[in-house]
Amino acid sequence: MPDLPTAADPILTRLAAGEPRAMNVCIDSFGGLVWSIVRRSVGNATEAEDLVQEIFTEIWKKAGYYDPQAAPEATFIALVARRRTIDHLRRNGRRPEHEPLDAATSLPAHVPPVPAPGCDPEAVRSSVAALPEDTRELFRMHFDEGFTHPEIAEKTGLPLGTVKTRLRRGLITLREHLQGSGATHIQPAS
Amino acid sequence: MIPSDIKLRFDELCAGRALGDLSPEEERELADLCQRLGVSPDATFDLVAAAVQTDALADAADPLPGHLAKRLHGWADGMPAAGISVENVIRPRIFAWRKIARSPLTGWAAAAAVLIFSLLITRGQKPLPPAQAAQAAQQLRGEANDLIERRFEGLGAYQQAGGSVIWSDSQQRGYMILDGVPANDPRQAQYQLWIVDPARDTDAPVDGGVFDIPREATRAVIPITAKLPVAKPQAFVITLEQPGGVVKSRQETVVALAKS
Repeated sequence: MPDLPTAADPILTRLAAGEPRAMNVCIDSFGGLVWSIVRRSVGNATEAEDLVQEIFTEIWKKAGYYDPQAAPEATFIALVARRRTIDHLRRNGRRPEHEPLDAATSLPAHVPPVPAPGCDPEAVRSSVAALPEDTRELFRMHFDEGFTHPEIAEKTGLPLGTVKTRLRRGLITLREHLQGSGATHIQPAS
Repeated sequence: MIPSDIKLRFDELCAGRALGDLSPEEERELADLCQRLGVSPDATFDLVAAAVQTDALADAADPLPGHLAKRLHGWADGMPAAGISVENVIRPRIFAWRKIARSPLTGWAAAAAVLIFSLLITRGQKPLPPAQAAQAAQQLRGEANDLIERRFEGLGAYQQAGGSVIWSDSQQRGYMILDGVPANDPRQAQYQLWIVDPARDTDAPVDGGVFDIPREATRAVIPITAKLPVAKPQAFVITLEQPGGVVKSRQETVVALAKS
């Protein structure tokens, strides 16, 4: 029976190294996280299940990219799961409708140079807690509950454009809070 | 220097991309902006969004349904080990490649960017068409007064591989002109260029881009797509990696080397 993953012995590293049954451990450890991310956005159960398998296939292919010193494994896996889920919704034309943003009024006045953010769970929690209360509530509805923007607009009574603006602005602010020492944020195109 | 209003708009579009809320018009705007700036979408927003969602679900994640867990385990039991199948593994001790992600300039942001990009773009660079290749290389030779040129030597099972690489520090452009490099199946493995630059504050090589050699190619001219600025390249190394390339190469298959 393979060992369960630990911070010092991440399963993604073992997966990349071709350790037998490492994927089984990965599924046991992170299946719930991946399923929860997918299920919050994809209503059809069969589609959701297929997508979960696609995501684990992607994790298998990309395990070699994981750097244990950069972020927790769960964050890396959530990143892959979120990206794949968003792509799935785009492919199927099921993204929510949006109102155009007024760029001039929707952006913060000052954005400092942004290096790589730190992703320590405690730092993430405290940075989210530092957001304005109304933004925190939108974050909760989006990330915890998985509501679409129109659903959030309907539940809160806010205009759709405002929901979109506040979520984006919140993410930009959060990245500023989480920034650590390190890389410039714009990467040359491949 | 990027004007601040463009930078702000770029950030907002990248945040929208990470939230999955870009309209088709905004997607086009972001693609145009990336092309104009010569950058990829900023993956750090995806990282932050993933971190927030992971924390939000820490105590609220739904368990994987039993039948899906069984299906996934059945699939996992039948899968091969990760990575590429290598018939002729060679491990030349050319460079002490330290952990690339420890470099302050190539940490998680770079890894995330490469990951996101590789999720979106599954194919590597293809050789330029012959006429365009000759013109591009000639143009660089004419424009750059600091052009360096090095010969590639095939290594191990790739003795037949050869060619040259040209590079200009001032232009931050270059090309590989490759002969005898076998065609690859991008679904199985892809070639990746690494640039060794002692002028950097780390001995981690710079990722020079993933590329494919098509079956019909005899000579291939591949544009170099360095992920970071290169100042004084000492060597260029081609490895064979998993599809999409890697952030850190284990140098399990080194195809060719060109050095000073």
